[in-house]
Parts: sequence; structure tokens; C-alpha cells
Amino acid sequence: MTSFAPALLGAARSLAATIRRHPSSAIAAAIVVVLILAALLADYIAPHDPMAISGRQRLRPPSEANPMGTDNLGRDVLSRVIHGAQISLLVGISVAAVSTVVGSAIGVLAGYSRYVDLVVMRIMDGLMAIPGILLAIAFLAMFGSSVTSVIIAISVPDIPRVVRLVRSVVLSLRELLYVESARSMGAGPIRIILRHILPNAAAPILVQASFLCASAILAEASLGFLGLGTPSEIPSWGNIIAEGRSFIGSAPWLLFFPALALTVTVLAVNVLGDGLRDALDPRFRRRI
Amino acid sequence: MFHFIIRRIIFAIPALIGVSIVVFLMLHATPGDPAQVVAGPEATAADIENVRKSLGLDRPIVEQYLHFVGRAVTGDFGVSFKTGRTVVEEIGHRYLNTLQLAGAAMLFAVVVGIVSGVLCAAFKYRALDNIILVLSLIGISAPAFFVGLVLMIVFSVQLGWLPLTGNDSWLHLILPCVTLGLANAAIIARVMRARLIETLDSDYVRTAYAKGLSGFRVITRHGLRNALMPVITVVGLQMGYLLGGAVITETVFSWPGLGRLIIQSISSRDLPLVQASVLLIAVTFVIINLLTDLLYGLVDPRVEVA
Repeated sequence: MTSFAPALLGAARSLAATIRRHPSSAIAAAIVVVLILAALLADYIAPHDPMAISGRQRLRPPSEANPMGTDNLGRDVLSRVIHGAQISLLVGISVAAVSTVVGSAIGVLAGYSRYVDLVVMRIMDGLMAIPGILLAIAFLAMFGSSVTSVIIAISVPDIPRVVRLVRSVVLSLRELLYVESARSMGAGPIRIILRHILPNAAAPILVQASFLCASAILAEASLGFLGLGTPSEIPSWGNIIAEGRSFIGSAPWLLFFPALALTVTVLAVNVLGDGLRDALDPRFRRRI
Repeated sequence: MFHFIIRRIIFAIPALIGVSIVVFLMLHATPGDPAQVVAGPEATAADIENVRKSLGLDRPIVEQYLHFVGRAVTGDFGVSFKTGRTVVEEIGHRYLNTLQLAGAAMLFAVVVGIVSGVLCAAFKYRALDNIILVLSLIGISAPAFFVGLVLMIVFSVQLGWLPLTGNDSWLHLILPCVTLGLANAAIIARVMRARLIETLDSDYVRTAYAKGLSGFRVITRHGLRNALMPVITVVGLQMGYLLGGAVITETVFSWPGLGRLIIQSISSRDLPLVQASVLLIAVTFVIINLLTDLLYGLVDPRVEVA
């Protein structure tokens, strides 16, 4: 017990120092933590069943019983927004993970082999030439809407961005002296990539992933708004907003609260990404 | 300069080939038989066979692709399933509407973005700078459809100053153009600010101050010119997002452009229209990137060497 106390105190002190030095990142991190908790504990903290329809409670403005009002079917908007966080965060995190892993693998190959590079980068140029949301729309039009297809549809247009980043990092790192010496000591390409190149490319990849997460959350909502997002049985911020759209004049709370949740989330993840970049990349420190 | 232009044009070709492959695969990646999809759910076996023949789907896939490209190059995208008119007829004026909207949004974004970026740099780390920075962060994070709907409520429903939807007059253009351009304005403002702050830190700017020029003159004559280069790149890159964002903005404001056509065609399973519209937007994007590169070469004499 006694041996833990100083370590704990030290950790608390350095945390306090970090918060003091980067207040916006700390607030953003707190928001993200609250959101993740809300999503995980949605079943326990949501005041009502998000799917419970009530004919008598239709389109009620915000009140004590329904802090964010009720929708056209009498469902509690707050409970739906809390449950919607699950889909938004799931999509955001999955897209960041899928596009980062797939993109890094392709990027490393492209950076390492000239032949792969030649073919792969042309395909990536082609993918990059189609606006991401359009590619996602086309994809969903072909494969129909489910949570999985939404994740894939948003990930695919993001992959070229990761590929470009990783490729450029690999290209610049592989000529460095320490990689050269690893190679001369007989390290194979896989060992060089895994042990020497990827760890040094981790910082920019991580920063990129956080921005991809933010844009994916936004993209999911946009697709939901267009009626192409996750199926309407599962509440997501996108389809709550899409359903509320027709009541914009009479019941603006239907739209306002989920959109606010969405904006705050995207803002928080973006700020966190900025903070991450500042912390990991000395070039940006104290500049922007 | 001539060599530079030729080289940039050659570089654009692989991107166009990539786009054509992606759009071509749209039809073939659809689960199930594409002929079945094209013929519709109520088609008989004979109908499906006819469609397969007429679309050439019984040929080897490479041959089909070359055929598709051959027709696309000559502007032949087939006939809309729904209206029976040629695809070119259907999308022509829609394309112009989208270009008008995207162009206006870009103009708005460039003007607002540069002005606020300059204001930020001129008053860096002070109240105005912080206010604009926070606003720009919100501009980047707020979804376009939300911004659009809020603008609609305020300016059309409540105040009644601007029309709600449609595109009958230039007044109809204002809200969609602000909605579409807002995020880009925010991004341009941030890039402008960062570069201008950096530029204003350099020796020649100190020299300009030293010889007694006013702050305004230093910023406009010495700072702005050199800080504009990255902004041009960003504008070119953002054009792609603008064309994509147009899909959402057009849906919010019922603007009769390509984006709205794509959404409508998807719900009516009108694949030739979707293919042609996506291809047209992608080609436009590639051409804009090419023009950005060329503009870059014109503005910055150093690029030619590279």
C-alpha cells in the first residue's frame, strides 16, 4: 500500500499538469470518455426504452420526464440519442481501425515494392478521385444498408489517405541509416518493416486515425440523413435526424439534440486529434 | 512550362483510368447477377437473357470494360431505365446546376476563409483570433445537413428573407452556397492563419516593417502573397469534398443537381444514371486537380524546376 501511494500521487500530479497545459485536449478527452461510458451503459442510464412507442406522448417538447422531448411516435429522444451514441462510436472507431490497418498494410507494400507501388497507387488515385461520400453512397446502393456495410462503405474511401501517408513515411524511413544497418545485419524485409519502420510511423498514423474517426462519425450521420445509413430499427444519430427532418418547423428538438450530440462528439474527437498531433509531432508544438 | 503542363496532363490519365475501373465495377460488384439487377425484380428469364446480350454481359470482363470506356469517351452512357431518355440528356442541365452551386460555395469559402484567416493572423492569440478559431472548429465539425436545416429555419421559416427550396433565382443560391461552403471556409481560414503567422515571422517581413511600412501593407503585399500558395492547394483538394458535399446540400434544399439525381436514381435503381453521374463528378474532380497543379505552376515559379 505504502509503495503505491507515491506512484499514484505522481501520476495524479502529472495528469493535473497535463490538464493545465492542454485544457482543450483535456475537456475533449473528458467528453469522449463520457460518450464511451454512455454508449457502453446505454441500457442502464437511458431513462426510457428507446423503442417504446406511445401514442399519447407524441411530439412533446422537452420536459422533466423527457429532457429532449419525444418524437412523432412518442419515443423518448434522450434515450434514443444515448443509444445512438453506440452506433456512432462503433462506426467511428471501426472505420478508423479498418482503414488504418488495411491502408497501412497496402502502404507498407507500396513503399517497399516498386511493382506493387505502380499498380496500387493508380487504383488509389482512382479511389481518391471520387469524393468519399459519393463512393460510400454508391457502395451502399449496391450492397444495401447494414451496420457492417456502412462501416465498409465509409472505410473504403479513407484507405487511400492512409496508404499515401504510410507509403510516404516508409519511403523516407527506408533510406535512413539505421534501416540500412539493420539490413546489412541480415534483417529480412518483414522484420525491418515490423521492428524498425512501423514503430516510427506510428505517431502520424495514430493522428490520422483520430481524424478518420471524427469524419466517419460525421459520414455515418450524413448517410443516415440521406436514408442510406444504418437500418431504422437501430437508433443512430443519423437516422434520428433523418426522421426528425419532416418536423423541423413544429418539433425542432427532434433534430436539434441529436445534431448537437453529433457536433459536440465530432468536435471533441477533432480537438483530441489536434492535441495528439501537437503532443506527438514536435514540429507542431506551440505553433498552430 | 510546356513540359510541365504536358507532364501533369499525363499524370492525370492513370487517375481517370482508376475512376473508370471503379465506376465500371459498380455494376459488376453488385451481389447477384447484374443482368437481373438491370432487368428489375419482375423480369422473366428471357428478359434477363436479353439484357445480358444487350449490355454485352456475356462477353469477357476485359472486353466489357474496354467497351464501357469506348462508349463513355464518346459520351454514350446508354438510356435511363426510368425515363427512357438518354443519360446525357438527363444529366446535362443537372451537371450545370451542381457546378453553379459548387462554384458559388467555393467562392464563398475562399473569400470568407482568406479574410478570416488574415484577421486571425493579424490579431494572433487575441480575442478575435480565438473567436474565429472556435467558430472554424465548429464549422468543420457541424454536419452540413444540420447547418443547412438551421439556416432554413432562421432565414426562410422565421425571418422569411430567403426562399426555402428550389433554384429559380439567385436568392435561392445563397443558403445552399453558405451551407456547402462553410466547412471549406473554416479549413481555408485555418490554413491561411497558420501560413500567414509563419510568413509574418520571417526576415523579409521584419525588413518590410523596418523600412516603415504599415501593418496593413506588410500583411497584404508581403505576407499574403507568400502565404497564398498552400491555400491554392487546399482549395483544389477541397473541391472534391465540395462535389461530394453537394449531394447532401442538394438533398436538403431540393437543388436539382447531380447529387440529388444520384440519390433519386439509387432509390429507383437507375444504374446507368448513377454510373454516369459518379463518373462525371470524378472526372470533374480530376480536371480540377489538374488545373490546381497548373495554377500552382503559374503562380509559383519554383514549381517548374521540380
